[in-house]
Amino acid sequence: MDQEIDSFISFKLGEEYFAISVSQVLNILQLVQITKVPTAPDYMKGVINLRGTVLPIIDIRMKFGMDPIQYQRDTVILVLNVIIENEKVDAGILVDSVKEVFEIKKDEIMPPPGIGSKYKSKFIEGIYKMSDERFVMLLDIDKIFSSDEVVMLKESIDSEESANAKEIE
Amino acid sequence: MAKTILIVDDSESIREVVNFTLQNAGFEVFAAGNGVEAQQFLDGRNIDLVITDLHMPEMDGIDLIKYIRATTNYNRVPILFLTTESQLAKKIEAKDAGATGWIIKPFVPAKLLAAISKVIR
Amino acid sequence: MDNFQSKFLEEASDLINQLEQALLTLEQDTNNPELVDSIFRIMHSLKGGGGMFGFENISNYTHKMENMYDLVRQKKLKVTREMLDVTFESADHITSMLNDDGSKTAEIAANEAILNKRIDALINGDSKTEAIAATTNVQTADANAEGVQSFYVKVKPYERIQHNGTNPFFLIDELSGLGKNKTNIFYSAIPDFENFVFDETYVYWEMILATDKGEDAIKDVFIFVEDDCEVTIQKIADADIFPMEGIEPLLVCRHDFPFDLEKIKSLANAITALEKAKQEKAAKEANAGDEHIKKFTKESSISGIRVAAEKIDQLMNLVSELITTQAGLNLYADNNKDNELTRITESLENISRQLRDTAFSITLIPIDYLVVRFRRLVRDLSREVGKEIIFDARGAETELDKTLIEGLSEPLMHILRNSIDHGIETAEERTAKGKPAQGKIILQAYYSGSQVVIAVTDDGKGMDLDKIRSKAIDRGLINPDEQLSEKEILDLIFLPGFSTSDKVTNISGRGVGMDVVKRKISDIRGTVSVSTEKDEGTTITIKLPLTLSIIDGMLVRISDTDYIIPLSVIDTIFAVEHSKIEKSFNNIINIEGVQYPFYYLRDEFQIEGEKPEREEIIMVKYDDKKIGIVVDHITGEYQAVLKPLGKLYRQQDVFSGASILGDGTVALVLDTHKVINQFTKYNDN
Repeated sequence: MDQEIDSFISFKLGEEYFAISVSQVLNILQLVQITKVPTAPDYMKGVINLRGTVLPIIDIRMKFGMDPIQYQRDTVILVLNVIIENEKVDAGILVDSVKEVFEIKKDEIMPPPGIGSKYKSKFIEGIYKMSDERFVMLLDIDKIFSSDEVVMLKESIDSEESANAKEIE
Repeated sequence: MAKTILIVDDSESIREVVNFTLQNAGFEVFAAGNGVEAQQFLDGRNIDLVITDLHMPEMDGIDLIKYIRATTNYNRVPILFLTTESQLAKKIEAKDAGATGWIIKPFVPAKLLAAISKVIR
Repeated sequence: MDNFQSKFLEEASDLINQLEQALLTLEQDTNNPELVDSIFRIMHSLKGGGGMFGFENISNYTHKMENMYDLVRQKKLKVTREMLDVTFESADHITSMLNDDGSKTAEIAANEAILNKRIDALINGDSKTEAIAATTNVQTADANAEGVQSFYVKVKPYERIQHNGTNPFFLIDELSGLGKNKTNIFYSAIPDFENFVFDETYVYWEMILATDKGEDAIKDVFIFVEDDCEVTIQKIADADIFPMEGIEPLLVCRHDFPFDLEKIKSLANAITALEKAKQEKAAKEANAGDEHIKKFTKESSISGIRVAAEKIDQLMNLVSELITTQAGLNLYADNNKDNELTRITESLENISRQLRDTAFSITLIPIDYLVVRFRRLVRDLSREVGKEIIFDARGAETELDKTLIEGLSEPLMHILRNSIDHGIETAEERTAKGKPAQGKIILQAYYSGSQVVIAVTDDGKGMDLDKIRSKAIDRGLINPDEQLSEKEILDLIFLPGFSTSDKVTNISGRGVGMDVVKRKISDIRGTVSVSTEKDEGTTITIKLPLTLSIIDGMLVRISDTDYIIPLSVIDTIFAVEHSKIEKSFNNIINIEGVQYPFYYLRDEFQIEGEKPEREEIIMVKYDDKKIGIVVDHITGEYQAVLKPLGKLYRQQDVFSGASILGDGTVALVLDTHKVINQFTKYNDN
């Protein structure tokens, strides 16, 4: 049983492919009207009504320093179960489109790109090469959501990016 | 109010079976032995469904269907005809004449009721 | 007393059930420390309860078992077959002690003597200590083989379809009979009046249908009309798509607008694949022993009370959905002036309101319910340890959800025991310190915003930070050179296995207390903290979120977002010209000769868009002042079911929650007090 297999669901942000373990994905939702919560950081898009409960929605593109999401026909919400400070929390992320569900053997996962990547490698668990040679970045969704720093994310992106830039030099 | 059904068949046993089944299912059933009797019965009455055999003396099923579709007062009444698996050509003919649907002989009560439920409610 | 005894009997049999379940699991996984912990705790609870409610024999017996499992906890003893056997037999033994009406006393005593010997042997290591190989229980998850498939069916009858006696609506009817469905009807092809022929058919429709009867059953519906209409049947998914919330918005019937079939299909496929992968994963995990057992232990701690709690949750959810739906109906009835509709809506609203009130009254229980138990506990226990203690409960009328009350009972009991046992000094010690000989424990409950606070304060000796620290070092919980703040040191007491008591007592034992307290409180989504002052006493504070409540509010709007302001804080409302606000200096506005400070919420919230010419200023009470809050528009009074905004939005505490409106969108509930605080600070900077 060394060959641990995990299933992931892949999705697109812009032209890039990302994936999250299916064990953390509760649901996939059609986009609905999002109620903005003032005073919250921009990437926190607001809340929606999911069968009577209030679900926070995150623009994961903004969290990664990409342009804000443009709502399109394929835009969907992935409902995730994340662990924030040892507490399970449901949250939705906006993605440009959902691609597929696939299985990966643990030892086929390559380490995160690290320096020079435009994405913060601390959010990336690994990289996987699909059969069609495309690369998919496997996200560590708990890390993305964890810590109070999320509030200061803008600053931390800037500072980290400049830090990365320095390392490249 | 109970829905009314007219069964047209020259075979008394078929008429009996249909009558028995449909009455038990809560329909009001009338019977005619051939097309001519059916014509006479339909004159001046409102009926919700006609079930007719195709092969009958005096006036057969196809002619009865044509007659009903050509008679203003009840030209939209649903008509089911009784047929066997092998009578494909007849089936097309009856459909073209204006039948609503069909019931394959031999039939069990459930089949009969299922077919009826497709055309009247 | 009888009442308490029967309560204890109930709890004890619950505990024994849990014990048996834990044992069965432990048999499969003898090295699982969580299971050993839970058995230890069960014994501990039985011991405590037995002592309190007159089952001395149970208390004595479980004390031994507790000792044994404590040794296992400390890894001084290994779980053996014999140990499991003894524990199983102990469970039976405790049950017979609980049920003994006096007729079996001799028999029980004989049995106990034998068991005691075996326990002693185990503790002294006489018995063969062959460890049992952990075996895993292979269990395959039930394949979800319901066989429901979802289809798209489009039916376009030819105009002549009715000519041969076919009623096309019967086709819809028959299709609908196959399973759950949503239907769009297209009226757009109906011609103008002069071209309209009475028995021609112009409408067509499409349906999303979930059925377990298969595609053939759908085809069968059209068997008579194959030549009279165009039928398209497409399979969407090998699953029922209706329970998939994600697709719901796509299944709204808007006549003359087709379903977005492509999108439905792609979402359905993604969700089905996701579900399938998750099921497979779950099945795999069930096969992997450890995971399975972990799951099992978690579930086995669910007691009978939890089941009841779930049902109440369900009821409350349904009630809040009803209130939300009712709001939708009210809105619809208002927009469609129809006397009969209005009458029905009003009477339904009346019923909804009564149902809501009844449902809430079922779930809300005053803390007094617990206090009665605690008084007795404090009295009995303080007598037992020879201390004089007064117990004072304040705010006992504070009402809490039934589930919360149940969840609080055990942790509070532990906290009280700790205070009695460790906190309050003996009369002599107290007199020597110049304190009144009588100790005091105060339980205080009150609402604070959207939380309930329950604090237990004693005027005892307080916690000794140095002692906690050195104990933690002894236990290997921290490094000797670790620098910890006072709060960090105090938090150590919540770690499993921590104890500050030097001797083992019959009451609170060896520190099972605080880690259990913390766990139980977080089970009901609360937090627990401690503050202490040497020789002044200790306060343990529990904060619980108010899970569900309904507030009467004022629904207001800024730009395209709805907000709710609780009616209780609103004093008056004025309409005001925007120009007047523009001209106002330093956020002070003069209305009818009175100067009011105000906050222009649109700006504070940085909401863009055009400002309306006329706005509304809501005067809210802020301490003894009145402060204006400007919004675009007031929609009207609204009964809001308060829902938490969730952890991610905890920084946005100007909102005490959210509520779901009649049209399904979310409105945010303003905490005006915090709004004023926050923006005052902000503006000052």
